[in-house]
Amino acid sequence: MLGRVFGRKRRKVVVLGLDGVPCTLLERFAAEGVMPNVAGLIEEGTLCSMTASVPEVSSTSWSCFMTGVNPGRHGIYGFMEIDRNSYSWRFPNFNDLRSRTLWETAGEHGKRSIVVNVPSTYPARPLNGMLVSGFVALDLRKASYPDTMYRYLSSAGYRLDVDAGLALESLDDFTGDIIETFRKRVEVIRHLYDSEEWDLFIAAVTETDRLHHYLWDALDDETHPQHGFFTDFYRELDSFIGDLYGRTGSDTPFIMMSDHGFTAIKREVYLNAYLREKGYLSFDAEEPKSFEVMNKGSRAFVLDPSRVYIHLKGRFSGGCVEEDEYEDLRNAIKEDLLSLEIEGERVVRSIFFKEDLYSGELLADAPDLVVLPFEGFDLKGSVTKTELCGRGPLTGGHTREDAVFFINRPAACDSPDIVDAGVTVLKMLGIETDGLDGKALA
Amino acid sequence: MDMSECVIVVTGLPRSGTSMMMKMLQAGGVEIVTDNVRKADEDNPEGYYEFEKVKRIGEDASWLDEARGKAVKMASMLLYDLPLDRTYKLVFMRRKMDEILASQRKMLERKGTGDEFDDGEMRGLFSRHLAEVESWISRQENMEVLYVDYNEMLLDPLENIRRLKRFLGDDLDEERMAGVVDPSLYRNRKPASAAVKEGDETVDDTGDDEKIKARLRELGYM
Repeated sequence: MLGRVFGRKRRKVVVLGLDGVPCTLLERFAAEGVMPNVAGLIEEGTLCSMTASVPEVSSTSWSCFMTGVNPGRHGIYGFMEIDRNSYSWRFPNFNDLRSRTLWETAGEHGKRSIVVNVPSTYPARPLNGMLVSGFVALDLRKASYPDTMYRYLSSAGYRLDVDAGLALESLDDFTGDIIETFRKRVEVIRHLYDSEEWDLFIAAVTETDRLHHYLWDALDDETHPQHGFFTDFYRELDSFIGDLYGRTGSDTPFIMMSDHGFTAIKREVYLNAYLREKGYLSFDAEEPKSFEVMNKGSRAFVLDPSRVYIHLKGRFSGGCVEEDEYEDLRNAIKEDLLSLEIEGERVVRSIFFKEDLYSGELLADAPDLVVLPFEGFDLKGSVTKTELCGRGPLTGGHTREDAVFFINRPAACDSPDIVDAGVTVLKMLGIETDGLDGKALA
Repeated sequence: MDMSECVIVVTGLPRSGTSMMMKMLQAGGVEIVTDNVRKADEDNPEGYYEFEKVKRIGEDASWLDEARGKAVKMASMLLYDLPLDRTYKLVFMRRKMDEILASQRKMLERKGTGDEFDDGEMRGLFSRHLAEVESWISRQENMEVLYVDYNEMLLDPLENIRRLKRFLGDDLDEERMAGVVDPSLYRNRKPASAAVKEGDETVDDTGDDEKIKARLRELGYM
């Protein structure tokens, strides 16, 4: 307050999230002239290839960013879990996040935040500022805080997300929906940026991820009907980035980041089918739809995308694996998964035990093993698939590596991890970051 | 007021979230008084947590001796009948009146008695009752009360559960209680007459899990 009275400049930070944008793609489009504004930014600041969370899904990665801690502390290991008693699906949401967000910490220091479309922030929770939730937000009212935000967004015709289901019906309609949603989001971001008081401004663009999932094959295939759209969309994104940076200026820390990279999918691999084949998993129904019909003698199962859970006694109500069998079983599953080959190609690049990846009071909730594939293999935890591999409508899948971290000033690109991005934001705001898992990059 | 000596009474208007609160307390480790006579149905899929004898408390309150340290559900209209020689901790549920009325209307329509329901009249009756009973509670020396807003609970369960813990005691299992706050129970919150408009993203969130599954499937999950 005194700073304001005496005219001292407030420390502000702007973060632009680019969901699912690979660092290599930004570099390429900058070099090819598709993204001239990004090219200018790269010259001015520092662009690093960042490592995302494990698993490399938006809910976990964005939660790591927004808390600056690992999943063993924030508790979000994926988009879905199963209830330990009923084995029914459970979908963790923002209320399940067990660590403070950047904007909650900023709020405790009297700083006001505007947060737009960050995934895994649904339903909206009160903060010192305004927020509209990102994926998987369903209801605009519940996605908005405070009520004035809801009224503004309603009147502006804001769209929570692209209707990705359109991609299965008509790619023209899908791309039309992407651009419409993106333009509306940009309009709202600009309005909030200009009209609100803030210290921390975080906005995420998620249309990139939807585009990549369904049209990654259009990126390099010049004969693809949507090839032109892909690059045109990035031109428009670049124009928005240039516009936003023009408003921000070089004095204010300007961060761009993504939550994972992307690559072409050669094959989807259904890990539960593999566990069934290997005798670790069985179901009591011929066509299972959920784990509610998992045979209680099952010893392991997989939740999307590649989280392996040991069916441990005491952890699950029907668990059958004894504590003293646990290590041998984990090692056996690891060996089996490492040996998995499809058409002579090895599928699994590495497997982590939970203690290799996570630490904290919620470690007990972590998957027992997490699998990372070689590029091109998209691992799935589907319970309905009986075949080992196949192809779906998606042409692009996530990678843990190659996420974006950019800041418009010198930065230490020493193996940056997504938790570091969150810590850097607090540091730039002048807030102590002791006790967080990441390190400040600038 | 010692929690083991008093009766915990979960109260409020019908459809104000009292069943959810009972379930939360049970999950948190509080023993509840219920006879399960009224079974779960479409309006309260998780059950009602009712105790038939509560309805006749004016005639027979002897069962209260066995209810010390436990939680019992009671419509706020019956609070006046609680004997004065015992102590109570009231958890009084509040909910947006529009949602209470919409929920009641829907429940009565399912029972085929929705025609008898007049929103305006009920709103007036409920509002007057709430003002009276809250004023009355404030004058009772043998009662402590915590007002819990159902809508706030859904938005920020952890903060509200912490308030509950401060009121009822630190032994409550915060995480299990939070697990009860199930968004799929947040139903019937729009007046039946308020049709969802095409393109309006403020939709009834009944079946949120199914919608989430559908959205996740679109991006290759599930």
